[in-house]
Amino acid sequence: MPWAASCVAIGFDTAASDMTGLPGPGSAHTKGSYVQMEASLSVDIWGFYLHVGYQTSTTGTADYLFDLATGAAASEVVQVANVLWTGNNRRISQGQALIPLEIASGTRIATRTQTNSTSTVELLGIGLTGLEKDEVSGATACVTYGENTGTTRGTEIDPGAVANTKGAYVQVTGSTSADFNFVMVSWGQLDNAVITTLYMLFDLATGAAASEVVLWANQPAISGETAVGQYCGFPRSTWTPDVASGTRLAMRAQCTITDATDRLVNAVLHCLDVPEAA
Amino acid sequence: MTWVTSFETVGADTTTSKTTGPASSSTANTKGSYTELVAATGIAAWAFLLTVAYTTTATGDDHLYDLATGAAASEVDILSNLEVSTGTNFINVLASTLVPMEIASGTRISARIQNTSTSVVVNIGFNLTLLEEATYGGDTGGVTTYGASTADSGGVSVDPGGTAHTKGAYSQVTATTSADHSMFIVCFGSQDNQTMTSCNWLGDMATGAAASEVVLIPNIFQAATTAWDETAAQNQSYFTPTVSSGTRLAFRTQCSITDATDRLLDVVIAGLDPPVPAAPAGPVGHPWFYRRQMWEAA
Repeated sequence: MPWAASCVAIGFDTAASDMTGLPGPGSAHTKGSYVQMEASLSVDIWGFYLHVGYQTSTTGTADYLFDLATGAAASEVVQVANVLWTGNNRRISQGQALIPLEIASGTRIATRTQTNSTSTVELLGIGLTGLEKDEVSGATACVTYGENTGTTRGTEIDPGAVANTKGAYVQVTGSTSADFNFVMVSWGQLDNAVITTLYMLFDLATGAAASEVVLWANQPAISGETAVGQYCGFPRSTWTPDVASGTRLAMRAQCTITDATDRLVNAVLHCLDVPEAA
Repeated sequence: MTWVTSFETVGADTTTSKTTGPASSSTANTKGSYTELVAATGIAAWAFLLTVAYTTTATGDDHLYDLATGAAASEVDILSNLEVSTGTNFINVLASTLVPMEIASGTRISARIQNTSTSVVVNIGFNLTLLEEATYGGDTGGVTTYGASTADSGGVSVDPGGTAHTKGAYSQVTATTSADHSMFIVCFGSQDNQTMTSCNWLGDMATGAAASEVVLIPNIFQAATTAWDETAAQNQSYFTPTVSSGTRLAFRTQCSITDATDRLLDVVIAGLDPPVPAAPAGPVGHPWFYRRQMWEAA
């Protein structure tokens, strides 16, 4: 029995060999209009791979929080909220992450974004590869923690002033609102256009302040190039040990550099509770 | 529901905040020595999240990497000849992909690479998050790699052709698969091209005889940038319908540019066959359907 009965492409623009482009809303920190990715999903899917990329080579750096939504035009319901992304004038920064979230056949899928910029340039590209449901089921909800829509950022993590040493924990949420066993981490670099080349390892932990227990240890993230600034920690996802509703989540990081600005990173957590079998 | 009992991260170098990388060989396109990522794993894993990343600002090269288990000098590759390409003058996370393959507790894990350079350098490294088994396991049948070219540390060249935004001809990756597969890791390389043009690709992975191909994974996105001379998300994993042993695999692309060199991509495909997770209830050893019936009845 396979994990997927078929793979379906959602939101890819074959006329441009690209993904669905999201224009900047024109107003900072405000979600723009939805852009349709799929008018009607052809099959039931138990999950999808999220592909994120930078569409156009332009100058400037920007942070984004984008939503994936379902429903008819003007009646969209956000399913995956506030995925954090930072891009700059290099289009290399792209990633693939599994999100095991069910969407029914016939559903319209759309996306929208906010950014810290007032630009209306279409920079961000999003595509999905759906996994048709067979024996495997996906989650029915995705809960986001740590986003800051007022600044188009996530939870700021400071590795501290000692290189290659874990900094203090930063709370992402004081209490989760649902059980989860799957997480995606999305990243941002605080619109830092001159970020220093750096390497980073982060921990995701559970538990009360000063009593945190590491759940997911030493995950790598990288900043790519001093000259232009580019954070290369694209979204990454995995099944996790069970985490009960009501749990505090915190993150910490260590970094190769100690520059007070460049060592900072933002993170948002997207949590799902995936059933074991169909 | 419990998918994972615990995590174990291997390959993280906390003294440098980097991944652990093997040195390349002084002979181009020849595997270097294995470098140990962990002496003995502490959990029985059904899967691992594999991250491949730069460990230094690299020169541009194509690389084929192996992950292996087993004692020193007796390593057995569990992933063989997966391709990544590095660009010039920057660093990046090259891949972050889930591999549902079992690794027993107490296993030594190591890695080695070959590349197109004769410099002995540590350019890329590996970080694995092991997912401890709860009620089921991952693939135990091994991973089979198709299309890798150890002679040039690359893969099968796929040409979108001279018309932009139009799918080119299929390139055969293998004439016949050697096992059933229900998951694939698709690897992209840039053919050691150090002067790439910014562009986008959409690629189709297909099965079936020549001229009768059927798309299995449609419109896989890839992009390159002039500034860094490489692509990203170079290893992408996909659950798929089961592809039977003996199946031909092929790949085609379309591209936003038509430059005869810069439009080319290497493709390497690795196949595995992870079982669908079984329901948790039922006596161990009973057929899967029986355990599921008991679970549903409960």
